[in-house]
Amino acid sequence: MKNSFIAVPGRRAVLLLLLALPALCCAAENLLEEVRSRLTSSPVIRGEFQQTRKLAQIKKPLVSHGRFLVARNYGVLWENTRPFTQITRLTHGEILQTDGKKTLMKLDASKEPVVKIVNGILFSVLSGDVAALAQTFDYHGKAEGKNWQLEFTPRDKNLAQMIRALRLAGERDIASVEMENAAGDVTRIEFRAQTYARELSADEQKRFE
Amino acid sequence: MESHVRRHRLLACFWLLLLLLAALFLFFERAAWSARVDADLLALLPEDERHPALKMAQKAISAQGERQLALLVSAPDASRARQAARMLRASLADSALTEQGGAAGIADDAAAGGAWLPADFYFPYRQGLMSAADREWLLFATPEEARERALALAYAPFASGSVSWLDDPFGFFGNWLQSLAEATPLRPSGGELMLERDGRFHAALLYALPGSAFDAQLQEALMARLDAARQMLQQEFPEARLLRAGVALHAAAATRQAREEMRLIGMGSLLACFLLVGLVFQSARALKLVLLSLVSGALVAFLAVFSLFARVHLLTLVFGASLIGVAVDYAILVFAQHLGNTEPVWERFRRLLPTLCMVLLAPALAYLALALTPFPGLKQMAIFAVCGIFGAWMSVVCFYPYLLPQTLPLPRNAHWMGRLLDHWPRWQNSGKAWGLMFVLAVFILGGLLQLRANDDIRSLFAGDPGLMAEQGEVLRVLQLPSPAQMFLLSAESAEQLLQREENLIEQLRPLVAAGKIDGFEATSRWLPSQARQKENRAGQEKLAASRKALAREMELAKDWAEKTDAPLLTPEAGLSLPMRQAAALWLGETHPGKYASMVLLKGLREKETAAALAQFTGEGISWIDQTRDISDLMQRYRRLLTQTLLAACLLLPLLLYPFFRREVWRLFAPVLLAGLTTLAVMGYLDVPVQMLSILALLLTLGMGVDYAIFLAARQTHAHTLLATTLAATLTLASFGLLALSATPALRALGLTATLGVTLSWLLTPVFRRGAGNQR
Repeated sequence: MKNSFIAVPGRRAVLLLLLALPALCCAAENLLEEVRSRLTSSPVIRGEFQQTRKLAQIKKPLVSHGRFLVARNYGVLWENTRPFTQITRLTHGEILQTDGKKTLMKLDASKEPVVKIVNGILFSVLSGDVAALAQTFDYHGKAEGKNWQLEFTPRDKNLAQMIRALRLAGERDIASVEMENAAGDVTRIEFRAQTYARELSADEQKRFE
Repeated sequence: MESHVRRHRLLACFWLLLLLLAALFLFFERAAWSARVDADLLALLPEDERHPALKMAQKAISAQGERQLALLVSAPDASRARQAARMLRASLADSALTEQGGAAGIADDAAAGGAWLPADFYFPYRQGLMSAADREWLLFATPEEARERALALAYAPFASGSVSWLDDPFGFFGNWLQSLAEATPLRPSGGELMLERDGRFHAALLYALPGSAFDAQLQEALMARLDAARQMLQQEFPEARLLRAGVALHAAAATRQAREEMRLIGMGSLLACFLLVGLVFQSARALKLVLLSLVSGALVAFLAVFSLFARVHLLTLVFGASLIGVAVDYAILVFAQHLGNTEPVWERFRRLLPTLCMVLLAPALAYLALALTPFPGLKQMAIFAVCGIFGAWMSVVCFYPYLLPQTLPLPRNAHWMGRLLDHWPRWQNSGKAWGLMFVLAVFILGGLLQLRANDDIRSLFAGDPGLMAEQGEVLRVLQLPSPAQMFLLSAESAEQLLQREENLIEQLRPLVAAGKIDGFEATSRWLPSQARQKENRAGQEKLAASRKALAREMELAKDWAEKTDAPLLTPEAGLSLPMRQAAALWLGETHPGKYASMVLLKGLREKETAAALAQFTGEGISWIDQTRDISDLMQRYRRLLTQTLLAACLLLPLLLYPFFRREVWRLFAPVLLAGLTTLAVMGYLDVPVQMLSILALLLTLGMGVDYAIFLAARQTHAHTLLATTLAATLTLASFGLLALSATPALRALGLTATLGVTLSWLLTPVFRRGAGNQR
C-alpha cells in the first residue's frame, strides 16, 4: 500500500495539489487574519511618534515629533510638538488644524465629501484596522514570526490621484506607517510607547467636542 | 339668380379641389408630419424679445439639458447602493443611452467634480489661480504668517494630492482646485459617483439620450427600459430607491397624457355628435353630411398648422378635438332650417346665408383673440381653431345646397321642444322679474368679490406630480442649479465679460454665506479673468521675503525663490477644456463684438431672495426670472383679453344693431348674464381666473350670441330651438370633455366654457320675443 503510494508519483502530486489549493486561494485572506490576530485591538490608543517627511525634489528630510491619540467613535488627535506646535483633529465630519490657539485650517465634510473618505482611511491606518483598508485597497505583504508588513495600493483610480501607497509594519503594535502621495512625497511615521485604554479621559473627550 | 348659382358652383369646385389637394398632401406626407408632432414643453413658452441673448441662453440650456437623464439609486448602505447602481447600469447597457461620467471615465469628465479635473491642465497657470478665501487671507497675512503656513503644509503628515510642495508651498493652487469641486456633491467611490445625504447613500448614473427628448419613439423605448429596470431593482434590492430626472421623462408622460386626452375628447365628441344628429334628424344623409363638414374642417386645420409651424404641439390637437362640437353647429343650423320645410333648397340657403356668416364670425373672432398672445402654443391653437371652423363652414356653404335632401322629416321631439319652449320662463317687465334679477345681481356681485386671478406658468404644464417630485428631489440631492432664474451678462469682450461675472460673484458671496442661496455656477469660476489672475500674482509678490526664508530653511536652490513669469490662462485656452459646466454657461460671441454668458444659482428658495437678486443688475448684467416673466406675461395677456372681451361686449351690439335694431338687447342680455354668473360661480368655487378662462368667456360670448341669432332668425321656431339645443349640447360635450384634461389651462378653458355655454343656452330662450311683439 505504502509502496504503491510512492510508486505512483502522479497521484501524489494531485494529492499535494489538492491539499495546497485552499492555502493558495486564501493566502491573502489569511494574511489579513494573521495581522489582525497579532495586533492589539483597543478602543483608545495613545502614544508618541516621530515623523519624517521626504518631499519630492527636496533633499532635506523634515523631522517632527509629537503625541497622538486614536479613539474609536471619536477620531484622531495628532499633536505636533517639535519643531512647532500644531494640532490636527480628524473627526467624522471635519478636519481641523490649529496651532494650539487659533484655527489654521478647517475642512468640512458637508462642503467637501472627500474629507469623510480621507478621514476614514487615516483612522483605519492609525488604528490598524487593516480589514477596513482592504475594502478600498489592494494589498500584499507577509507575516513572519512576530513581524508583519502590509502594503496597500488604492483600487479606485481617483483615490490613486491622492494616495499612491500605504505601508504598515509592526508586531503587537503598529511600528511604522509610510504614506506616499501622488506627488511623490513620502511620510514615514514611527510609533513609540503605545498604551491602550478602554475609554477616553474626561479631558480628552472635551478635546473632541 | 343664374349668375349666383354659377359663381357658387365655381366656388364649390374650387373648394373641393383644395380639399382634395389637402387630403392628398396630408396622406402622402403623413410620416413627415406625424414626426413633427411633439409635446415640447418649451414650445408653449413665449420668446422673450427684450433679451436677444436670452433666446440663445434658453437654447443652450435646453440643448444640453434636454438630452440628459439622471438616475439616482439610493440605499441605507453604501455598498448596496453601489451594487444596485451596477445592476441598473448593466440592465441599461444595451440601450441607446450613453453614460457620462460614472464608471465610464470620471477623471476626464467635469460632471464628476472639479477635484477630479486634470490638475495638470491648470498647473502652468497656478500663480494666478486663488480661491476667494485665500485672496482674503493674503490681504492681511504677514510674511511670518505666510512662512508658518508653508511650513505647516510641508510638515503636515496627511498632505494628499498630486501637486508637490515645491510647486505650491502656500497651498493656494490646491485650495483653488478644491473650490472647483464645489460644483457637485458627487464623489467617485468604488467606481461609482456617490454622495451621502440624510443617512442614505446615493449613486448617480448620468446618461445622454441618443436623440431628441421629444422623439416619441425614443420616449417609448426609454420608458419601457426604465420601467423594466425599476422592477428588477425592486426585486433584487427592495431597500433601494430609484429617482429619475430628465426632460424626456416629462415629455414621455405629456405625450402619453395628451394622446389619451385627444382620443377621449375626439372620440367622445364624435360619438356624441353622431348619436344626437342621428337621433334627432333620423337621416343617414345628415350623418354623412356632418362627417363631410367635420372632415373638411380637420383637413384645413391640419394643413394650416403643418404648413405654418415647424413643430405641432400635441396640446393643439387636444384642443382641436374639442372643436368638433363647435364645427358641427353649422351643419345643424342648416338641417334645422330644412326640417319640414318645402321651400326650394336654394331659396332657403340664400335666406340663411347672412345668419350663417354671422355665426361664423363670432367664434372665429373669439379664437383669433388667442392668436394675439405671444405664446406660440396658443397661436397654434388659434390658427387650428379658426381654420377648422372655417373649413367646416365652407363645406356647409359650398356643398350642402347640392347634397341636402329636399326636406328632412320633422322629428316628433321637435313638437315636444316647442311645447317646452312655451313653458320656458320668459322675461317680462314685471316686479317679480326685477326682483329675481336683483337676487341674481346680488349673487353675481357676491361671487365676483371672491374672484381671484392666477397667472402661474404651471397652468400650461400638466406635469405628472410623481415625476415632478422625483425631478425636484434629484435636483436637490445633486445640488443642480435651476435654469429658471439666472443672471444674463453681456460685454464687449470675453475678458470684460469674465470681469463682470467676477464682480457679480463678489456680490453673491454674502448671500451664500448667509445661507440665502447654496451657491452659483459661472464660467469665471473655472476661467478667471486675466485681470483677476494678474491681481492674484501681484498679491503674491509680498510673499517674496517668506519664500526666501523658506528656501534657506528647506535648503532649496536659490532660484526657487526668484519670481518666474508663468503664462496667464487665456479664455481661448480655458474654454478649450472639455468642461461641460463652464462651456454650457458661456454663450460666447453672440453678435460681432458682443459676448454673453450666464450665471446660474443653486438653492434659490425664497421670493425675497429673488427680489434682492433682481437688484444686482447693472451695466451688462440683467436678472432673468423666467417663471415670473412668463407669469407677468400671462397676467398682461389676461388683462388684454379681458379688455378685448369688454370691447367685444360693446362693439358686437353696435355691429348687430343694423340687423336687429332695438331687439339687439335680447341677443346680449342672456350672454352677459351667463358670463357674469359663470365668473360668480368661479368665485364661489374658488376657481381662479386665468388667461384661458377669459378666452372661454370670449367663446361663450360668441356662441351665446350665435344661439340668440339662431333663435331670432326664425322667431323662436321649435326647430330652431332644437338646433340651438343640439348645437349647445354638442359644444358642451366637447368642452365638458376638455374640462377633463390634465393641463390646468385647458381644464380652465373647458370648465369656464361649459359653464358659460350652458348658462347662455338656458338663458337665451328667457329673452325670446313674446308672441305679441314679433316683428
